[in-house]
This record gives sequence, structure tokens and C-alpha cells, in this order.
Amino acid sequence: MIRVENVTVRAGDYALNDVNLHVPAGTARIVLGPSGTGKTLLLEAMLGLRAVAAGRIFIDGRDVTNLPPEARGIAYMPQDGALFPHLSVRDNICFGRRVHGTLAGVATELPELCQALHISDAMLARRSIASLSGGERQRVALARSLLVKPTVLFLDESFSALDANVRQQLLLQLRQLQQARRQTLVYVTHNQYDAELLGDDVTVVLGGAIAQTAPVRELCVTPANAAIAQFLQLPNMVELQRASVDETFRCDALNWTLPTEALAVTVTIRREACHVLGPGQADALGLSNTVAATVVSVFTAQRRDYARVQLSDGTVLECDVALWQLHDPGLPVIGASVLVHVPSNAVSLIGATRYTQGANE
Amino acid sequence: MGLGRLGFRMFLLTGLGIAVTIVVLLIVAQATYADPTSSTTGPWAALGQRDIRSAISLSLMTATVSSLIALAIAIPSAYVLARSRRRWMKVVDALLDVPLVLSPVVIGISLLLLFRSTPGRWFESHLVRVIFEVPGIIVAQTVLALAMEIRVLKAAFEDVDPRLEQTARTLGCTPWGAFWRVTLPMARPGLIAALVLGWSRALGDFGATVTIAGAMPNKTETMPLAVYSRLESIQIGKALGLSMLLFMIAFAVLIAVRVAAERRRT
Repeated sequence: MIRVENVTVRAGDYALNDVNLHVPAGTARIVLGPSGTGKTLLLEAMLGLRAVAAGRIFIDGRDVTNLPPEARGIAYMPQDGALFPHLSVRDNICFGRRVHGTLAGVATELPELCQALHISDAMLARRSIASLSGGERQRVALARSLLVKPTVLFLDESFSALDANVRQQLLLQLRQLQQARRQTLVYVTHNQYDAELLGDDVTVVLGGAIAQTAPVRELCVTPANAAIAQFLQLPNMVELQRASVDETFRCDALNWTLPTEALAVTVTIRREACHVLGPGQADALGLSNTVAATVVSVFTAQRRDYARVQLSDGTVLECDVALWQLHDPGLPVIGASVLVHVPSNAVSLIGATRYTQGANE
Repeated sequence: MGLGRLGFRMFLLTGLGIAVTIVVLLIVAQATYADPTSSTTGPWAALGQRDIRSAISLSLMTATVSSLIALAIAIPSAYVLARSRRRWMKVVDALLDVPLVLSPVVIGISLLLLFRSTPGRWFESHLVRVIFEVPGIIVAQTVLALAMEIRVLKAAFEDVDPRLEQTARTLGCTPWGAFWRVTLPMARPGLIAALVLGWSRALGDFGATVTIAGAMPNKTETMPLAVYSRLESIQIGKALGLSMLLFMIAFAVLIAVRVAAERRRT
């Protein structure tokens, strides 16, 4: 468990002010934010590599605020793994245990760990790390960090330089290990896809402050504010006005009832939940809340096909084409007139979240 | 275009050719010289004579001791210079370079004056006699070797990514532990290069040594001093023998530094 209480960290003129963070034991927390937003400052403070100007940091209930990194019972894996080039692969992995003087037991733990991280005996026997590929280096660095059985494992953009396939594979293996061992983990990244694969909860850091903490699968549905939605590059951010006639919020011919007293709101519409319909599908499937649109382009994202469509009021929406493909296995033609269905459960009010907003959790 | 490229290649080859020729001529001139003053002792035979043997052993001893003392001081100094981000450290950095630029005679004079001052006299009367003694040679050579070793070691420490030390700290190393287990082993080729270059700087010194320790045969006369004094007294054979030995040592040292640098790259 790690708890950060009212911590302020400074680096030159830049400061991360009054931060609060609580990572429950056994969970994986993603600290997500664009570059230069202060998330590395926060990480360095938790690691003990940077002194805090104010506040306290607790790891496993112990106040570690003024303890050096070696006394915090943690492990850290930086971006490129930071393997020691003068040591063999095995010596790199065993480094922490050797330093702690706890090499006894490594003989049984090491093969287990290597198997879980797909580190072959041949790789383990290499005298130099120079010949390891990027993915192999990260596996070795991960094994080195995990072998010391840290209370909290910190990772800083650890897989960002890898090919997408290798990265995904490694993140999933790490997730499996983390869940099996109930390892508390803090992963700092700017990549939300890494967050989705590895994390239980996400803390978004924007502009030197914590903007929101939410479970991974909820974050994209309920961003606390427009800045977060923009950082997450959520598609279909739309501003809506309340219609005076029936109090619903309208977008062209679409309308929804939303749980707010406001007259104007910004919403995100999940693109996988709104659909391009084939001829007659609206009636056949009994779908209401549809609108006529023109197909602007088609694309594939995360193995699903989508169409960008434009409504008559100029609004552009990204919509799933799975239903349309029941009618025609191909993709809608650019310029085609189609019908689009947007159910109310696809619409999320930005800021209307039950999760924390602002600096305090 | 073709002519331009050819012209550039000629420019490069001519420069390299002249540089190599100068060094080769220096070696050839020494190796082929027939000594008219001495029919019995050739340059190599002269190395066996007592005064020359004494100069060789004194030089090897003082250079080794002073380069090791300098290394012990250079390691922490160079590490601080390599890691510190403070502005005034640039001034310290420049200050430590001064002996590298200054004429060794000037360093010798400064040392002479230092040991003639009141604290210097106290040091000499209570601890070790320095002026015109072997410790004087070691002091002078240490000052010269130190500047050289700091320069080389600073570059070596700068090559060690601080994140490796940070990672070592998070894996349980104290600052000492991270330095001994990570920084120093990674800087080992630089360490060897610094020691070898410092040693050769100490070995080759003339000005600082002669100023503080004089050039008394069989007492404080090092190899470069012996070369000069034998040349003055027209004992060309001895001067040549020592010169050629110094040449060979210099060549061996430079090869050693390159081998160390090669190992650093791999």
C-alpha cells in the first residue's frame, strides 16, 4: 500500500502541489498524463530520489518521507530498463538480492520467475546484456525488480520504446504476475492503452495536479472534465443545449434526457455504442433515436470498423458499423446517406462522475 | 564534383602523411644514430650503467607512487565534477585544469615557494623533507598526474548514466554501494586510462621535478633529467638509450589506453 498525503514537490520553477494519492495493497495503479505534467516528479518523490517540500509519504503504513530509496522496500524499473552493462544477465537479475544479502532461496525463485517472464535458460546464461533485444532487456529488468519482492514496484514508461506487439505481450504477462502475486504496482505512462492493459485504477495528472482517479474501465466513460476528455482523445465530444420544449438535450434530430440541471453540457458519446444502420434495420430492430447522416470516412481501430458520419447540423460522429455489416459485409461507401442510432447509454456527461475530482481522493 | 572530392581526399592524406612522417623521422633518427663519442657503449648498453639504472628505477617508482596517490584524490573529485549541476562547480572544474595548461616549471616554482613558507618549513622539519629529496619528486608528479587523471575520470563518470545509480539505490544500494557496485566498475576502462595517462605524465615530467628536487645523479635524477644532463655532458649513448626507452614506454602506454577505450566501447 502507498499513501501520499498533501505532498508538494518542486523542480526549479516547476511544482506539483498538494498531491494526495492512495494505492491500495495488491492493486495496479496507472499514473497517466502527458509529458511535462509532473508525473515523473511525483514518481521521484515516492522513490525517494527527490525530497518533498511538504507532505508525507507512507509505504505499507510506514512513514518513508525522509528515508533514502534503499530503505523504502521498493523496486524501480526506468524507461529503458537500466540494466547494468558490466554484469551478466543472471547477475543483473540477482543484483538486488545480492545487495540485500538474501541470495538464499534464489535458486528456487529464479526459475519460476524466469518461466513466468519467458526468460529462457540460454538468455539467462548470457555473459553480456549487449546482445539482448529491447523486449528481452525489459524482461530481465522486470525480473530484477520482482526478485527483490518489493512492497511497491514502480515503473516509468517502462515499455514505451517497444513494438506494440511486444509491449502488449509484456504488459499482459506483468498483469498476470501482478495479480497472481498481489503485487502493489505504480506505472507511470502517457499511454492510455498501457493503462487499460495493466491497471486497476488510473490517476490522471494534468498541469501539475491530480485531475481524476477512476477505475480503468470507467475513465473513458466518465472523464471528470473536458481537459481529461481531450487528453484521452475521446471521440465524439459534443456540446448540447437543453431544448425548452421537452427539457431534453438535443443534437440534430437526436435527443436524450440527462441527469443534470444545467442548460448546456458537454458530453462524450462512446463510438462503440452508436451504430450506423443498414436499410430497414431501425424498424426491424425497433430502434428509436436515429438521425440521417452522410458517411465522411471509414477506419479501423482496435480491430473494429468505424465510420465518421456528418449530421445535417454539421456535427461529426464516429460510429460502429457492426450492425450495418449484418446487412452488408463490406464498409459503407464514402458519401452514402445512412441512418445513425445513438442510444442514451452511449452518452456520458463530462464531469458527472461519482469518482474523485481534483487533488483529493 | 569529382575533382572536389579528390582534392578533399588529397588534403586529408597529406595531413596524415606529414604527421606520421614527423613521428617516424624522430624514431628513425634515434634508432640509426651512430655515436661518435663512444665506441664501446651503444645506446642499449648504456642502460646497464649505474647512474642510468638509478634514474630508470627512480622514475618508475616515483611515477607509480604519484599516479596512485593522484588517482585516490582524482576519483572523488572527478565524480563530484561529473555529477554536480551547480554553476560554481564550473569554476572549480577550470581551476583543477590549471596544472594541465601551466608550464611544469611554474608548478615547480610554486611548490618550492610553498615548502619554503612557514607551514612548509614546519612540514619539512616535522614530517618529510621534500625539497631536493625524492618526496619532492613525488609531490611534483602527483600535482601533474592529478590534473590529467581528473580530466579523464570526469569523462568516464559522465558516461555512466545516473539512472543506473538511481536504479541501484532503489534495489537496496546505499550511495557507497551504488558507487562501488555500479559506477566504479562501469568506469573501469576510464580508470585504467586515467592511471596510465597520469603515470606517463609523471614519468615524462622534467620542469617541475628539476625545480623542486634538482637533478642529483643517483639521488633525485629521473629519466628525463638524465637524458638532458647526459646530452649536455656529451654522453650521447646514455641520452639516446634513455630517450629510446622513454619512446617505447610512451608507445606502450598509448596502446594500453586504446585497448582500455576499446573495452569500454564493447
